[in-house]
Amino acid sequence: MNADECMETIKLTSRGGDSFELPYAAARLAHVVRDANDENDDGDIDSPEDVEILKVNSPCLEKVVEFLKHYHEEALTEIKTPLEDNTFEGNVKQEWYQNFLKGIDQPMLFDLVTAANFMAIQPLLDLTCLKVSCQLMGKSAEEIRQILNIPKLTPEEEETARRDHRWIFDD
Amino acid sequence: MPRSMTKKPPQLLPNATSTVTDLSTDVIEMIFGNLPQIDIMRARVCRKWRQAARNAIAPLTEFKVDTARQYNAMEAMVIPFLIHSRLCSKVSITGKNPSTMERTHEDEAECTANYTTHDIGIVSNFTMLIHLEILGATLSGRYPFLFSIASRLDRLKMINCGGLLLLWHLDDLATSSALKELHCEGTPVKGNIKCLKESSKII
Repeated sequence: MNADECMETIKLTSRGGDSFELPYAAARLAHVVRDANDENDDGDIDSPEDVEILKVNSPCLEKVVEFLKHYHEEALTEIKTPLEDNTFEGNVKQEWYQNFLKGIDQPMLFDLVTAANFMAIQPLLDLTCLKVSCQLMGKSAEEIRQILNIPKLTPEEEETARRDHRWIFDD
Repeated sequence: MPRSMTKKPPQLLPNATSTVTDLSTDVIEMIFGNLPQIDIMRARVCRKWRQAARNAIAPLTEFKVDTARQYNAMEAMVIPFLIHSRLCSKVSITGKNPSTMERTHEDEAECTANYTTHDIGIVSNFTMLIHLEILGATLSGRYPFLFSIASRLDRLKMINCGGLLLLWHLDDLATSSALKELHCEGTPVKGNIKCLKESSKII
């Protein structure tokens, strides 16, 4: 059977043991799902099976499944680089995708980036990386540290950094 | 029976979340791939992110150098981009503009006596260069190696540059396999123009 036209559903199970059901045709955007189902190069499979995604926690996998389902209905349009705008909304025109990442906290965003990378979902990876990029754009080194929750430099390290790369710290 | 996509059980707690340190270098490179060079430089906030910055291919944007501070910034870019040299960029080196085009060498020497000269070798740090514009900059050093290192350079624009310090030779330019467009204006050039025509170069 051709996977693209497959009407069957499968369940993706998270590290916490929660399962999320979705059409196989939507789930196969994740290469990890294709590989688990031994999909061949022509996109043919015998019968889709459930997949355990043990590296992804439940809240994150729920968001991933939400993405996969919607992407199957409305694909994300290509993100053009160089970016047209400094804001996420300025580069992603589709309202659903704008709202998908609106209001999520930083740990969840990094969870989604990591999950997209592990599950090999390129559009989700592009979208989440863009979100992080937009958060960093135009920010000072100190602001970036706060956004990424990276420990502050020691006074000695900061003095060295300011001396060696003064132009980075200047606005 | 569901198929598991991890061979070993994860060591993390069931709902542990990711932090910035969990992002792989490949992913950080993707994040950097959306950022202009200045933001990449600022975002080198820890060892892993510095490593990613070395490999990041910045989008094709203009990096304009027209002050000593920006020249220093360009030198500082050696840190992330020199080793792996994957910067994809258009660099414009802009210096003080000579006031007239038709001066004698003596006049030129007098006028440029106080100029700060920059070693053109700095450009060779950027081996993914596609466009290079050198506008009115007082340059010194040797340039022929540029075209063997910056193999992707397809457009070179030189306006009012070189002066007494740098003399461009067409034979050297012809060694660049990718060079498609050469624009020289107010720049001393010597050599046989045929060597460029044979290579389908446009002047």
